[in-house]
Amino acid sequence: MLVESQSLYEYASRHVEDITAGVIQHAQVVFVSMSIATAVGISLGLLVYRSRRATDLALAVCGIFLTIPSFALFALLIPVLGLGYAPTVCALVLYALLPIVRNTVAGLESVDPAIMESARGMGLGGRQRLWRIQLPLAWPIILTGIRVSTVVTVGIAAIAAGVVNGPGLGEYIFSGLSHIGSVFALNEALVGVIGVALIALAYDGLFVLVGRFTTSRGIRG
Amino acid sequence: MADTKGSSTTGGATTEGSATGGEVIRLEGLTKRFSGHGEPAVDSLDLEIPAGEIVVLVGPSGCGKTTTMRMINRLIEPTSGKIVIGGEDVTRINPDQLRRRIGYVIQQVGLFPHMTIADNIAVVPRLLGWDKSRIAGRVDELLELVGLDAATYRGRFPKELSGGQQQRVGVARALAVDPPVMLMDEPFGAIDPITRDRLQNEFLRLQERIRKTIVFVTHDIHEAIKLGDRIAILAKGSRLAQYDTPEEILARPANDFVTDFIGPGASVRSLGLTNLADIELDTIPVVELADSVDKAKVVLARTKQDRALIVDEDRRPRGWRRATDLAQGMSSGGGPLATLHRSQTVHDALNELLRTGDTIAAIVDAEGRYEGALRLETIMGLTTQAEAAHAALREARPVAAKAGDSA
Repeated sequence: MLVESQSLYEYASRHVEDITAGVIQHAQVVFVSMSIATAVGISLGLLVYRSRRATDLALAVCGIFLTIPSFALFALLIPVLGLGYAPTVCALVLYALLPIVRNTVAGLESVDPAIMESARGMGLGGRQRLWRIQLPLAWPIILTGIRVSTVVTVGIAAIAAGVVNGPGLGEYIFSGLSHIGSVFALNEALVGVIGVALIALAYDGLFVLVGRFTTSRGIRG
Repeated sequence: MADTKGSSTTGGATTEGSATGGEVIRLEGLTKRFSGHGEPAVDSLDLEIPAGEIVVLVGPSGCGKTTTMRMINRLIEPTSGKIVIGGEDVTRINPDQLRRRIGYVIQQVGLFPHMTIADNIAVVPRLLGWDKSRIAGRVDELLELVGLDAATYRGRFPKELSGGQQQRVGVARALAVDPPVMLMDEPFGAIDPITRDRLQNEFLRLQERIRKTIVFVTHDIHEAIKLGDRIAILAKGSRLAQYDTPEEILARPANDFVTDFIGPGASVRSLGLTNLADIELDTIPVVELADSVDKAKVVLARTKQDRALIVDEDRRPRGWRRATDLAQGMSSGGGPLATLHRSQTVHDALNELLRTGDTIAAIVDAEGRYEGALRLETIMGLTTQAEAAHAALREARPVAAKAGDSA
């Protein structure tokens, strides 16, 4: 039983191409999902923030998605979208919405009314006030929402592999778990878990950089 | 402060630099009714604000002064009535276009925190499509105008400035495209008293140069008296209780509401508006420094006074020759001497007399030559005249005047 003593390192170097492909797929499905969620989430936030009732409704609906266990949500999507990429992205977008919508509303509301008043008094129209004043000032808070969603999404994307046969590192984890006791089981699971954690950390670091480059020095802490 | 009074009637004329003067603002039957409120917030107000003047809207909270001001740039749309600026009816024109032609300064300043000082000032010029070099030049010019070094401050962010500096930038930003009209809503209200006083003085000096038509809202009657060329005292519903110069309002309040609003001490405050050049000075005996003791005795005996002012060969006041000192054979003048310049106010003279503990002040001209004297009794006379005017007014109107009722 020579293979029994195979270390994680040896396992990883032997499967480096497969693992790399898994990491890229995983990171990519998160990127695609988050791009859609960001566009939808910010738009939804902009649409509802002026009305308390609309805001409450939007947050309640987005909140419901989060209460459905991810296993169940993936399974519910199978009859509609089948297996693979599409249901994965769809579920991830639904999970990512709440923090983005919530922080978009919170960010827009956090802008000092005196600032909006002086913008209006200077003759900036509604759209100019939104794009030049309100959104740039709300941006750090919105970005935090996107960042939280992204990190959560990296983890949930792993589950997609087990339920809807989605892309990414999830298959290592599920394969490892289903073969517990076999030769490669632990190494497989470890590659999946560590890989997912590293992707989450990498995205988190990326957001720190994005925040630096997209936030005015005048409103950085 | 006093030197700006009465000199601002030339509004409308272009003064120095690129500054255009102000334009007349006319409010005609201006009314605002908020839904759900029975009484209108502003009830058919007619007001003409002369070009190039500072008109202060002042009144108790809830009287509608801020609503009135915000209707001029239509941040609040009037229910009825007309706003005419420089002959043009602006009641129905595009409100954003209108606001770009009206400077707007609020108490909280409202600088955009994510923009540099230069970018804050450049917002409206950019909206109007000015080219880059013109904007950069204008930014620097405005920063210098409000007393901030352009090289130091243009690249800074609002959070790096003190409250007073931020409000200066607020004023510079409002002046960016050289609007003929400025609206200022308690701009110095949130600033500490010492800085406020300095900013008020700077503001008056600035207005000397730019001659805008300025509508200034405050609840502070002292600020109104200090800054206003005219003051509109408003009662509830923005009803005009009195609209006049500060001097007239202090000397002849139109009704009990105004009297109550300007409060006690109006007569003393009115002294701060009276220049020594504008009153009749007292005559007191004068001796020259070279005159003998005997001559001084003769002068005092003839005028039946107990002291004479000593002046030197240039007629500069030097001290007092008192009858008591002369009787003891002393020739030198004793005691501190309250000396005031003719451009100073009666209030300054009163202060100086209280400080030196004296009863007569010597008034000099620009070269420091003696012009006349002012006795404490004379100052008392001036205040009692004002008090008498107040009292007479109160007696003449046993029933409160209409404007006072609702407040």
